[in-house]
Amino acid sequence: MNEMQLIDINIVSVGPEIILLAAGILFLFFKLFPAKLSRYLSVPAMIILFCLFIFLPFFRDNNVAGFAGAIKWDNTSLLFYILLLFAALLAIMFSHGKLKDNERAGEFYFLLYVAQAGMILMVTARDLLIVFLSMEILSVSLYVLVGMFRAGKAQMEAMVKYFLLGSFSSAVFLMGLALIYGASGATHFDSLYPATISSLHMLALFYIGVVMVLAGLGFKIAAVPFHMWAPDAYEGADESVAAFLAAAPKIAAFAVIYRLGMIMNLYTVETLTAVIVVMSAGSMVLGNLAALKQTMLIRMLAYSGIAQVGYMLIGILVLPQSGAAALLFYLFVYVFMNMGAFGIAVFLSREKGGNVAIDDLAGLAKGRPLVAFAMAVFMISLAGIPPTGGFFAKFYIFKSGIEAGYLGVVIIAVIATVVSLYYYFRVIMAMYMQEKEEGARWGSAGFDFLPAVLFLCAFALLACGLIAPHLLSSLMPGEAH
Amino acid sequence: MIEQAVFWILSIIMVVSALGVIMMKSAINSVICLLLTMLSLAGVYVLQGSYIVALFQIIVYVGAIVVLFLFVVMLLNIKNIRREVAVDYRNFIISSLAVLTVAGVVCILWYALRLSMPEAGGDIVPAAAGVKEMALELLNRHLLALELVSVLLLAGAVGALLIGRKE
Repeated sequence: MNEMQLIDINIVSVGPEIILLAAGILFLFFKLFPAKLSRYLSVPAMIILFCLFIFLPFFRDNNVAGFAGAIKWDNTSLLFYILLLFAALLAIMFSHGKLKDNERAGEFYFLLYVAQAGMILMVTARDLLIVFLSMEILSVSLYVLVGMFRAGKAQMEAMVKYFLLGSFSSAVFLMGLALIYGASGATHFDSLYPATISSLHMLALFYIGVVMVLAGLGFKIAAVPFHMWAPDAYEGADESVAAFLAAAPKIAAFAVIYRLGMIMNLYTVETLTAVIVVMSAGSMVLGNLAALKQTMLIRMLAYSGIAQVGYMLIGILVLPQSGAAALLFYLFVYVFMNMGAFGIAVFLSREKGGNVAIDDLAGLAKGRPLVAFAMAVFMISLAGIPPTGGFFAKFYIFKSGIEAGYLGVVIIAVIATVVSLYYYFRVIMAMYMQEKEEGARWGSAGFDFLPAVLFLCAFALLACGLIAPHLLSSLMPGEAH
Repeated sequence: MIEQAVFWILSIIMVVSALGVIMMKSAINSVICLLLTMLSLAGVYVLQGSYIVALFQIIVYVGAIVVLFLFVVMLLNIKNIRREVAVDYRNFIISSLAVLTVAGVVCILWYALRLSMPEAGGDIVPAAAGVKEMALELLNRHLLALELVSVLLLAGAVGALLIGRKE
């Protein structure tokens, strides 16, 4: 009986995920060794992530595919992959101090690795079912990571809130997936062109399904109106987890939205364009206005992250044309500037203990000039002021938006950017112009690992600004093939 | 025609008991309602001709999950879960907004389904879902999905142990 046709598995296509999972499970066993050993776990964790860069030359220009086309590596997914690796590396560096004397280090790295494997699957998957499963793997590990270092009621509340809202959004995504399947009979991206649907009657069902899928993804990128969880979850989680949470899942979810746009060519339909416009404009307006009145650093960064998502969604709007490269460039810069800013929060909360208010930054420029400089670069970049990468990211996004005729959205974006200057500069003002009342508390304590990493991040941002045009042209997905 | 009648009866039972899950005052009654929902859903699967799915629905949900729910409810001895909510104009606004949203979603879905009706009504393919076909599909075309579910369960198990552990 040979009527079955076996699919080609091509195990190389999930090579990075297999390595991550195997290593993660090994980390779980570190409980058996004396507690001293787990102190040094961050070193192998980083080395393994570095090793994953090895896959780059294999996958580049090769279009490795596996599992009957459910997994496909093209150069764009490679780019997302690199971004995810950077985000995870930074998160491990940030968490190093926290985990030094923590017996749960093994579990932490296991969950981080599982989340990372889920995200890599998300950026390479070409099947909505696989996307859903990998998104669930990511979410489950993130729920636990948020509540892992819980110290009190607030942390628990943050985790439960994130868990409940996350489950709802997953359910919405799944419902949308069911409707899409009902309308088209397929879950693979390639067979999901609206044009391939046989009868026009099915289109309505199909579009409702796509909107629900977008809502599920909108939760992951924390776009308005699915943003409620973000500030609370970031504040409740440990700062290093918050840094990871604010960057990595957004990259993965944007990769899926990007694929929906590029392969299915969905965002030329007016209904769906309207959905994205509402999400984008809402995120920019609400995120920026809410950030204005925040006093805690992490909450301010959370709302600023929501606003940044709004800018990035403009890139989604103009996807078939120039939006792709602009969006990828924005994500590239976003990883460094946002995680850098969160890294400063990690650093300050380690020094101070507890959550950091913006006023706590006073006098930082005197005590720790390099850290203050790095923070200033991150803020300037988030605000979008010329010498940094953030300016060029915004510039290209806005330019492609205007070229595609979305003038209204871009005008909202520009106004929102001007508003955002206030709260970004408040941080810089606090660092450079205010004096600390009880004398200098930021004693310079010799060489430290974390500030060095942060300084590198700031340097990368400045470099991004200098080589922006070259970077942009090399990011063009069409050209790289 | 008898299929139609069975379908509508099952659907009405399902919707009413699903409403009962969230509206019953005592937790035990809610769980019983959930059981009823699951059973009628299994009935719908039988109507579609996918007997295996119906079987799994009964074994997994009714046999394992709902019974587990019952045990938990009884062990924790939860008698009355509904706390008195203060009657407040904000609550009223929010709940009416929620009702409006749900009604809107239902209307849109209904409209979309109506549009798709002429196509979908005629040719429902009875799924050839024997155990063998299902196993072959699962281990061949959906191999990756199957493996991913196992990873998901592993992550969930580790997470549950971490969260549930006493300090």
